[in-house]
Amino acid sequence: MKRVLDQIVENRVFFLLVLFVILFAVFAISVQNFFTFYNLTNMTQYGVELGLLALAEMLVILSGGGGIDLSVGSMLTIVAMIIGVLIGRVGLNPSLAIFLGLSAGMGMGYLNGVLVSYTKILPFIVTLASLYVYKSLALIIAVDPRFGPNPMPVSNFPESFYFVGQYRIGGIPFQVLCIFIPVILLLYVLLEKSVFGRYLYGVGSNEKAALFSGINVERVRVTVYTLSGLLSALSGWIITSRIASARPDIGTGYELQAITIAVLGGVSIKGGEGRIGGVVLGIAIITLLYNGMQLAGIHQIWQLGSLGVILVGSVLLNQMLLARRKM
Amino acid sequence: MEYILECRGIFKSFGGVQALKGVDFTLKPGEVHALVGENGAGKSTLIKIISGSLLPDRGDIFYMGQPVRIDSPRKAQDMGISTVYQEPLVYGELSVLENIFLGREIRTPRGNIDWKKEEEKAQSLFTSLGLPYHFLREPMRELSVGLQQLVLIAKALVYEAKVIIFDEPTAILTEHETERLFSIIQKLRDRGVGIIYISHRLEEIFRIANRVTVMRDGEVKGEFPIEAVDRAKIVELMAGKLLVEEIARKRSRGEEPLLSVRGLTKKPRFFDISFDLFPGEILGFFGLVGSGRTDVAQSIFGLLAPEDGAIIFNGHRVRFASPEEAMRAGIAYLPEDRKVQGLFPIQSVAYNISVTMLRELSRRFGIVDIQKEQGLADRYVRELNIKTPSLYTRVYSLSGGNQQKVVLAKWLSVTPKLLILDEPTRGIDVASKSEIHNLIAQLADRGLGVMLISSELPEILKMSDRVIVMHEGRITGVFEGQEKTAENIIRAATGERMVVSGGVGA
Repeated sequence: MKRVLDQIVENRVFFLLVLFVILFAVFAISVQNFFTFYNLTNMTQYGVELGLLALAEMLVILSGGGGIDLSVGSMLTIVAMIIGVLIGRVGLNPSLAIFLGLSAGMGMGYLNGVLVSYTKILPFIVTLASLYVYKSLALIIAVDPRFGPNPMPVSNFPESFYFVGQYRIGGIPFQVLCIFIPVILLLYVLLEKSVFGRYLYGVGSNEKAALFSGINVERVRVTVYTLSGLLSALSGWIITSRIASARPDIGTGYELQAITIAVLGGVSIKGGEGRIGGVVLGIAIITLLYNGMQLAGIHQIWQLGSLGVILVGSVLLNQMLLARRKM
Repeated sequence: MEYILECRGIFKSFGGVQALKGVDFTLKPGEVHALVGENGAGKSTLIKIISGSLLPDRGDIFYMGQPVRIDSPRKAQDMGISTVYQEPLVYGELSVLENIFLGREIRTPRGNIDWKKEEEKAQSLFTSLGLPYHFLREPMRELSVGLQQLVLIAKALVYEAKVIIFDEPTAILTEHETERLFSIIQKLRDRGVGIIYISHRLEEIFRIANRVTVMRDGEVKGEFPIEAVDRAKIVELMAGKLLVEEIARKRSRGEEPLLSVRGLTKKPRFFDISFDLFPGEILGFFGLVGSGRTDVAQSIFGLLAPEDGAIIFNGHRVRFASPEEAMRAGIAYLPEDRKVQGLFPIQSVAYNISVTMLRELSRRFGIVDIQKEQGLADRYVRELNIKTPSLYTRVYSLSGGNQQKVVLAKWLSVTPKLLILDEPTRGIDVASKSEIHNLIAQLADRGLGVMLISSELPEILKMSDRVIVMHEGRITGVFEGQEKTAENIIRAATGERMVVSGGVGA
């Protein structure tokens, strides 16, 4: 028993698991309609979009050197607009449009990575700049010259496009089963099992030692920023399909929530430390919280506040337990 | 009052190591007293005691005839003892004027800083030292290191320093800056300031010192007026009768050189470096910090790009653009700064050992074979006798000696042909040190070429088959056999050009 307690306090993933179970139990007992198959499965589809961005932040923050990607929300938006405009206004084949959208996401991420790695400008500054540039580009793309100079959302998609965001397989939302879970598994293998994952943790925990050990630091960093772009793009595609509309303001504010979840999940802002299990639990906890509060009739404006409280509260609780155990 | 500063019978130990064993040191007003000795002789400890950074275990210090207890650097400065370090400690964003008067600001009656008076005072100070003063309002970081040092001297004068300690001030100065510093030191001396001057460059000492004290192993080995001593005598005292037993070796040096370096140059760090290294040989590189040894090693390993010259490794002319390439060719480099350059402190022991071998340990799609990884780590933990609770312990919790063995294991696992070791035993315990020494000897016996860089003379003498000595970026001596003595090595390291047959001893 004592060993289990030790594990909970020392291992952030276990700690989050316990927090998740408690939160789940509280909502299941006190909130009506929470513990139903429909709600539980429905809830997961909302976690996917923010979750993909949190995974992107995890990769970038792990790479160290002040790694952070503030542009994920803007990359999401721009990809949503590219896919929307190509399908809805240009009339391109949806598969091709989605392929182009995802490629654009990777391209933007790659550009961030190159700037961070080769110019040595701080990631905070590079991605703050690209946050605004990509956001503007999204607005420009959204302008439909037929209706004057203002950006316009796109919402005339063929029925087949909604499959990803609105259909279910065996009751489980398509994007959870066929995109989110595979992405998590792939990233798990990448981080925990692959050579690249080892290099990533090495670069994040000591850049100099990584260089002296024959690791190509720049290549590792460029790769994670590119992956961040791809994950943001996936998120943009899914969100467009789910709400059946490509809106030029859709990703606003997502970047900080994504960073918060990554940090909540135990990713050290200094880099080199943090496990994907923790981040997945972080995503689960936040999704649970948003959903439970909504069902309990608490107004949406409390959502972001609760996110902050959970972040500080969980870290504080963890520290207090750790301090007590050491006494 | 004959002496301004008098230290009597100073003892100081760190852990079990006796750093100072009853040192006497005196300083008269208006003299330059040079302090010389090898690394680890105790100079720095003595200086730290005088400047208030350390308290002695035993012994008395008298300042202007009164017994004193100097328990903080601040107190030393207030008393009139200032130190000018090799790397000036400055506030780069503040102006020169602010740096000079920091903590001793001149105030107007209303309590504001009186910039005008400060500037006037600084101007007269700089004029009296024969220096320009147009940069007083500029940020400190805009000044060269040499000028920053001079500003700190001015600051010492603002604090009415009666004793100024110079800790290897010329190590990073240009020739011109050095000359200017000397003329200022002479002016200070003429004003009656007592100066303690630490340097490894013996020629400087003969130029500006009035007295010289030689330290070795925490003791004063001699104190002379400068007229009463010559270079040879000082070197002899510094070296002492160093009794070093050479490590047992199976001499099995190969016929063809493993590494040939010809005319390698990267200004201003090193010039025209040429040497051969044979398989099975331990080639020692001795020199003071800043003599260019590490830069040469890093150029071979692909971390620095040399401007000129050739590197022939294993029969091929090479120039590695990155450590990755050098590693693949069969070169390993154990860096001098273990914590910063060698280790991934928050990662596990297994991780730290296997990180250079991951590609070889992986199966398809770049997936690491965890069994093989464990096997490799486990083998080296046992082979090098690394004391760790488990393979998954984070490496920062190990002792320094075990950490260093982990870094060594990382490099041995790539089975290199050439092993470059940069200060392999710095700061680790005696037992680990001798284990590492035995290991290096074994590796060389197995046919590895070893380039051993060390600032520790006993280590160099014990381990090396041949010794190359560097001074200010040049090879000043190559010694082997009977010639490989402490005295010869120190003479070459302090700038005397010795047997240099094209630099390629064989």
